[in-house]
Amino acid sequence: MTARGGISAFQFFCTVFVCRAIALFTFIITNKESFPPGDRAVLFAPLALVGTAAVIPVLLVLGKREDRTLFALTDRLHPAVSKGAALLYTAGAVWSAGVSLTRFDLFMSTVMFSGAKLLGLILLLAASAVPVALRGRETVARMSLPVLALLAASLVYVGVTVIGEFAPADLELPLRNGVLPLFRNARSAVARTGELAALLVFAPHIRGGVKKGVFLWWLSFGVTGSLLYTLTTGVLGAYGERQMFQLYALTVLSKLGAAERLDALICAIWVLCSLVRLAFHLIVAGMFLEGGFRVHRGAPLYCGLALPVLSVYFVLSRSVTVFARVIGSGINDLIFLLLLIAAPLSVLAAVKIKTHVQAKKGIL
Amino acid sequence: MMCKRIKNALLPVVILLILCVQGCACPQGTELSKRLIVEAVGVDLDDGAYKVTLQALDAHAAGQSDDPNENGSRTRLCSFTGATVGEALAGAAAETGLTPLYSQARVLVLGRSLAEQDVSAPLDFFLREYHTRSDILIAVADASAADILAADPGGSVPGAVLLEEALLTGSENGECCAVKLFRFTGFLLSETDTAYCPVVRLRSEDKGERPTAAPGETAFFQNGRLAFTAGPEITRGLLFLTDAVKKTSFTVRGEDGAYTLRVAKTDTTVRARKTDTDGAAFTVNVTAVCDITEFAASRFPDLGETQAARAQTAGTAYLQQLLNDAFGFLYGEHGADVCRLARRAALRFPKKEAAFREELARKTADIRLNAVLTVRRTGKENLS
Repeated sequence: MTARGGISAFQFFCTVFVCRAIALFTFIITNKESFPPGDRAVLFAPLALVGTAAVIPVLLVLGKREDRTLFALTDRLHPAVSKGAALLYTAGAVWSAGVSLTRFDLFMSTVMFSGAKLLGLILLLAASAVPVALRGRETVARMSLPVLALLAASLVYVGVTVIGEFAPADLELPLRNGVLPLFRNARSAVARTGELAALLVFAPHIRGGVKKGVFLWWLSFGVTGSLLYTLTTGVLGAYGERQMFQLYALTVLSKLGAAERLDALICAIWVLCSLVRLAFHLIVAGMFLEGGFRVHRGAPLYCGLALPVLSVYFVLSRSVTVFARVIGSGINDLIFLLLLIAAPLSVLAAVKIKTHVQAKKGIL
Repeated sequence: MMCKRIKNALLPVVILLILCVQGCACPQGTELSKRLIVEAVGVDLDDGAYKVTLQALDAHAAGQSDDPNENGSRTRLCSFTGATVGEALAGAAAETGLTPLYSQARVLVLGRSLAEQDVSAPLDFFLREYHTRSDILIAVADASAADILAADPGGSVPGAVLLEEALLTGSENGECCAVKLFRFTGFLLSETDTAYCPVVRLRSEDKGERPTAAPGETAFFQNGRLAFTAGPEITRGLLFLTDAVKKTSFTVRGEDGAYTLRVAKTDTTVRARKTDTDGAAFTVNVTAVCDITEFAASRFPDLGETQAARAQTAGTAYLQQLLNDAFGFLYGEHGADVCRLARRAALRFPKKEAAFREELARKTADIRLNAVLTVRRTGKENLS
């Protein structure tokens, strides 16, 4: 068992919040029917319920004292299981990092520098994430706090400056298409939150209540998302529904006197969020490899991890169509199901069976 | 030890700085002198093709302190033609030798002939393309958009800036409407709302001065095309109905003289309700708080409570008449739903949405307009 220390639960959830926030801002709503505007205002409730329920297997792995890692269990089964689990979770983190880079590239090359090739910026972002990851989880957790503060300040500012354009008549009633689309979207949003699998290796390094934090995290993330999307619907109306990046379209309207391009400054904060997210994924991947293969988390490992991340990016970032097709194929659902539900439950069941069998043998 | 600490602290700062600069500045930066800084965009229909006119800042003339270009202006005008707006604008860089920068554009002017056709096709460019801003003002030219953009009074301020200012202050003062592109397209995209925007025309100058563009009437769109226009009184009523008026003045005649009332605050609320027979009913309440800025009567009479009450009564009657006329013309004659009654009904009574919409279309809904005007201040003089 590792001595508890490192980061607080608040810092951990702030880091995950920053990681999810950038995904939220660069999220593309494919059509109005799949995600009705009225439902967005109440999405936080099913999101908190479904999200918390989905993380229960992970919390079971952590044990009562919330300080057990996945490898503490897999090592009891067989070293090969630990290695397999390490590879599986590393692949998940690498995929997630690659997807986030692709989202970032699609957003920047569509909105900020239309049509420009941003390979230089992407490589710089990936190259910057390696030294940040090398500084360790504490550095990333500490870094996420000012980034989150900046993000929150920018969002409050956007909200205050555009509230004058808010037209209640543009809102729509929730549950117009029934309760099913609401839960389908909640499930889909939960499936995109693979970051919580990090708890399987982070837990011994987190001070404070993780279980309570999970529910509060889902609730705060859901409320933030619901508020932002409700504001977007009320301000932009039908125009917003036609925009690929709806939350960015909202920031375009915010102005401060003669300063009219505040969206460019806000995008700089989003760049920082992307850096935090990328570094976080590299650290998570590194910790899984460390747990499974007992490798040293150093520069060669992180540089080595950056390569498959960039490979995922190169494959997905060819066009919006390729990205939408891959993401729309249900791969996120599959990864989430595998990493946060199936794998932890299988390991728990296997450990229980093995303990039972060993106990029986001991009695015999 | 200290050196290592400084290094540890500096590394993230350097990385963040590089990323911020790289992320929010231009990776493919173009110098300002090589930019065609577009101030206004005009779109006309020309022999079935789109003629796009750009009013752009003349970077060289703008840099001169007192000697603008040979036309006496700091802007230049360029026109391009194409089957689509995008195709027309694609030629801008090749023809001018400068890279267009559309994010500074302030006004989008649609030619009258284009507005009378379907405006959805040319507007799709502005809906989809990220180079232009969604909050620029939109207007319809009373003739050609190119002529409106060509009107430049010279001097240090470009014509587009003056036009934008005229539209914004005109809207606040209740003289014209100012509509942003995202709001206009939102109304066009909606099934029930009516899109509207100001009409701009050339103001003729008798003293040999350059003509300038100025807002006038309001253009209303139905099924994506210009359906009808309305004059200044209807426009003023429209601004009250849509809660867009900020400060305007009007004069009403009382028993003792003429009162000039300046609106200090207005509020419009629209409420959908049901009649006793479950029919569609709406109440539009317009409240205005006014200051008396002038009491024009002979021999400087005192302004007492009686006079203030008379001003209030006359003001309320004026406002009520204004609302009745505007609503009667817009909804009664043309079926324009500027108060977004159908949407409000859908929000309040979702199950009755279709029935209410039908009643609105048949104009059988019970719609009440209430105007309430109160006098807040009476100028420098105390109430006697």
